Amino acid sequence: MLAFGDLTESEAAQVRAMAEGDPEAAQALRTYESMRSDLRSMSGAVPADQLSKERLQDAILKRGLNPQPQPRRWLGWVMAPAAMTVIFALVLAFQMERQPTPVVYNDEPLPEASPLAREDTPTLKADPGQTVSIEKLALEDEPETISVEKPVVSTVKKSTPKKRPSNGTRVAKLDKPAVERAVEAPKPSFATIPTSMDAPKIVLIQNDKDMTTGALKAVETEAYSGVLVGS
Amino acid sequence: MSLRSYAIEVPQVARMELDSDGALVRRARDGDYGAFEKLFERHRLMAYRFAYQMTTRRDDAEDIVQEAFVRAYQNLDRYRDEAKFTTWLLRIVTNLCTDQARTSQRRMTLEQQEAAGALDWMTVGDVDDPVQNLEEDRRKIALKRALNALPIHHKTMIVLRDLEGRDYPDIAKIVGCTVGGAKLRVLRARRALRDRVAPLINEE
Repeated sequence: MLAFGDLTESEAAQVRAMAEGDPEAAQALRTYESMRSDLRSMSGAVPADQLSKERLQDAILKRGLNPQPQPRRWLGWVMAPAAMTVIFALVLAFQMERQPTPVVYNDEPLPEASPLAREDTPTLKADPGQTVSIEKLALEDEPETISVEKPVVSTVKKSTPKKRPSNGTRVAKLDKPAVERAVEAPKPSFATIPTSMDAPKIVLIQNDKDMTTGALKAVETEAYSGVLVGS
Repeated sequence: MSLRSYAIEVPQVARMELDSDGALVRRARDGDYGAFEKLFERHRLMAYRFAYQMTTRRDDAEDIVQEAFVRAYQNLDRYRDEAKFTTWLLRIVTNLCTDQARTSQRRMTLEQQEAAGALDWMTVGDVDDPVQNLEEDRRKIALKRALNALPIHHKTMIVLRDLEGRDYPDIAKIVGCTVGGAKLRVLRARRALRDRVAPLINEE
């Protein structure tokens, strides 16, 4: 190792000191140093090769390895969940289109409905099949304004003054301080208060059930005198 | 370092990273055969020189190098990015050389090797001092004969360390042992070579 330079300076000095007193060690050291110089001279002498890219590609093809772009492995981990999501969304959309809304229009003529009075408090008539009772309620507080874009059901109790909302929402302004509320017995149903006095639309949920779907029958009307409003 | 010089150096570093052996291997693994061809062009001479020094025959060395690159392409998935590509490639070449030496039916005898080197002995040398050149050539021929006659595991260590100049950590990874084990194997190989060549050198 001394002759080939594999020792550190200190180690080399120690070995040389040991070899000086030993003729055989000195001879071995000279032999190794000669070997090292001769091996170094042999390292660069090689004949030119005939390797080429074409020859390599032929060898790869003969081995049955196709040097073509391989699909990225991670693509499968991304494409499979994405495909499942798309399929699920399509199936869901298809099913939603197929399911009809449970609204059945009966062929019976609509009961006569009196138009809502704009000036007066709207008076509601009961449906022939329903019992209703009407209570007149009056607002004790000043009327408040409401900005409503879609139908809302609002109930006002006689004893409870309507509070002004603290979150900044606007309350509809009523023409009359009194609001009538109808309470049905035994079973209340719900109705939508028309958003506009010009074209009121009311959907009446009846007690009868549809034979085919099992849902409660609903009737849509523009105006109705006997509307029952649930609390 | 000014900002301008730093701004110029960053793209160069990025290009070097993209062109590194590791980056080419990753691209080849993803299907970019052109990247593998770049690796071939970059390292084929190094692999061929090592294979030739192991086999001493050009045809055998070419076959071994070609087979090594085919196996490397076939096993790109097994290549670990933290290892050097040259180390991994030389390991494949070493194994192929070992297999070829052990199973070859066409190994040249010592007499045939001596005959093959006779012409080289006659032409090589400085004309000014033919006597000294004759002694050097005889010594080199003797060393070459002794090296080719070594067992394949000794010859591999001599070629890797003393002919190719590989450091011990690389040699350890190529042959599959520890660094200390690599040093010990090189020591034993040199001793075996000296035992064979010493009588020829000492006679002079």
